[in-house]
Amino acid sequence: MPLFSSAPAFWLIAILCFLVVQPARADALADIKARGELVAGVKADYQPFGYRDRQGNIVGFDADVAAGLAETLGVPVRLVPVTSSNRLQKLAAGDVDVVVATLGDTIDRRRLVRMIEPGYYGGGASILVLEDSPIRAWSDIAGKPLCAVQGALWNRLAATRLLADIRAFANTRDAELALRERNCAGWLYDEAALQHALTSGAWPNYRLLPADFVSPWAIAVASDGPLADQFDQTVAGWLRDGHLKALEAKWRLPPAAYLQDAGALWSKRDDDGQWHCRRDADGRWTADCRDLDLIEAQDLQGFGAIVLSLRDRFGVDLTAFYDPYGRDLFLKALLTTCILAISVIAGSLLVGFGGAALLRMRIPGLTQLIATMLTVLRMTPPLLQLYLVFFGIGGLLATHGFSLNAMIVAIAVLSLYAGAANAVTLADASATIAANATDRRRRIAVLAYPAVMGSCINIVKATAMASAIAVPELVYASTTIIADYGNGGVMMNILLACYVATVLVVVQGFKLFERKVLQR
Amino acid sequence: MLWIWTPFLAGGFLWNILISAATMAIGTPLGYGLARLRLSGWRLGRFLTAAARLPPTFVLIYYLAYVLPTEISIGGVSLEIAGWIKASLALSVAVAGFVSDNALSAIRHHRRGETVEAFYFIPAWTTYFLIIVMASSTASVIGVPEIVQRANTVIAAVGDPRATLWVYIYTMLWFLMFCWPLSRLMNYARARLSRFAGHRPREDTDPIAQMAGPMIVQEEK
Repeated sequence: MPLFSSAPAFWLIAILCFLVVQPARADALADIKARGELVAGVKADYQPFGYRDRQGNIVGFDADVAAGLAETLGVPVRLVPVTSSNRLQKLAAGDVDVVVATLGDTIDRRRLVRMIEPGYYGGGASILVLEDSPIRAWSDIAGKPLCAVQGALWNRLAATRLLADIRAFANTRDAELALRERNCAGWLYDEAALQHALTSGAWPNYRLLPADFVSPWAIAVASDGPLADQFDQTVAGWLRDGHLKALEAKWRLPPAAYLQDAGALWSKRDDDGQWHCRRDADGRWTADCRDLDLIEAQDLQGFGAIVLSLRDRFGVDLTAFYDPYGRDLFLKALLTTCILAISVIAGSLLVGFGGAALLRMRIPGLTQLIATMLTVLRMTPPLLQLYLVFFGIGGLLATHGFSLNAMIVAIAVLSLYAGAANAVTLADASATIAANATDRRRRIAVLAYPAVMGSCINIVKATAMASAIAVPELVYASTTIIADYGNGGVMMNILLACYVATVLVVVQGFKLFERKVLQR
Repeated sequence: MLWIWTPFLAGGFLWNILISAATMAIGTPLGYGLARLRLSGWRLGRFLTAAARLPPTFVLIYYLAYVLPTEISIGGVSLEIAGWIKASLALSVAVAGFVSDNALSAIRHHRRGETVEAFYFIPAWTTYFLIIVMASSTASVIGVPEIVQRANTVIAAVGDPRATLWVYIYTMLWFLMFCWPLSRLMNYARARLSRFAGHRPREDTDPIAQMAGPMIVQEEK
């Protein structure tokens, strides 16, 4: 059909148009002064670093640090909520001037943004597990499903080094709910936050593993320049005058080893009375003060020359696919999307035939019941239906010791959603064709075919929504990779191309079936 | 408990309506333009219509959220592209495809002097608006404070796992209460139109078709 065969070319062109390098921005410091405010990205779901108080204001350790930074610039601060998965994106896009959002400092991330040295805090990961959980040490997590939050540094480390089965959710709330529903054996997250949650009494009968993957946290700005230099100086000053230790006490954080050590190091003076950690002729800090205990420098050997030049010349960053973790994640996601698509088509047809048969029986009461159910299914958003079943009903089941599988929930909800439409179409069609007509089945199929095909194509598109309940399909994998690599534009183009291709395959499949079977 | 949060959630639903209205306002002229293009025999119109129907809106929302800048400057004037605008733009792609098809048949009817048949466009368009209202909930995934996003905020604030189900059910009711009456009204409009046109009224007395309404018939073709 020519209508569809020309469309991929359009998307290809559209996609190529977007593969351009973002223009460099002007001097950030001058911008901020001219604008008269510092826009700072902080977390809003992470007690006590950045969270909303009863009035809805964002407060916390990070919020205070951001306010302190603004004060040194002589402008007021405006706090913008960010999440682990979008903080680097927002910084790169210029939505925020600075990110103070529990961001672990790594070499990988230094490629994307300018990390302020020294780090302003430091922390590691821990795992929240049930008191009677078999997980006693970090070595016990191999093969165990762990809930996590997308964008956290240690997700990849726990998966690649300790072989845990990481199920990363978009935010802490979803990860928490999933743990409560026993969808995972534990919750892998920041140690300080978990400690805080445990002491708040919200998690009776749970315990924590000792911290691992400890690293400094850094304030981040978009690029090198006067702003970055000034912030370097500010944080060094805070380590010396105890400002950060005071904030730690104010927010009732357990004393962090990082602040203790860094405070001592940066307060050390040389024999000549000067700070030991000071800038050299190039403007860099003294070498032994920069000795960051970075967790893992990513091994980027074996790069194809083409890929490197793609990245450096055109800004098309495909490095994620050279990391076995990123590549596996994406390939598995492709498979998951295919399984999802096939399952929901089969499921919606099954529900359609079954529903139509029930409707044709015209059992009093039952017809009304089905009709009401159809109305509810058709007039509420499928995303909300997914949430309701997975988090709402799943939550109730969890109190009785049952847990729901996200993939199965997605298939069931989407199949019901599209199946409802199919049932009505098929019932209508079978009512139209006389009971004694010749070749009745085929005629019903021909009559209902366009509408059924439409609803099947729509439901294949809707499978993307399964990412909202952490089914590791393509959208999920893409946002996870973006959170680690910051290559939003490239991943989104690949994602869109994959979905357009999937939809085209389904469309062609239905056309083929129509030609070969129905029109004989 | 739900009463306390009702104004907050209602404010969220206003966002859904705003996003949907903006979506229709962007998509309808686009779709109409495509329909005119197809009528004048340009292949481009048919091709763009087919392209508009291919990508899932859920993916497009993510796409625009990551790919579009948050601020653009045209001739020295800088314009902010907020999350809800990105969501509206993403959704309007599907609207353009839908309007292109339906406006095409409406214009053809109109040219043949079948004015009443041309008016079928209005209930079809309104029904598609309802589909968009429901699709606007997906803007929650990029952080637009519409009703589903706010429902999640409420659940996090309440902190009681048993409340989760009720908050979601209550949120669903908002969609039902808005979409169901409008959908019935459009059914009625359609029935009136077909009587005007001198057709036999649809003979199905099937309660399903009446209750579930045009949402089922008017899926994307």
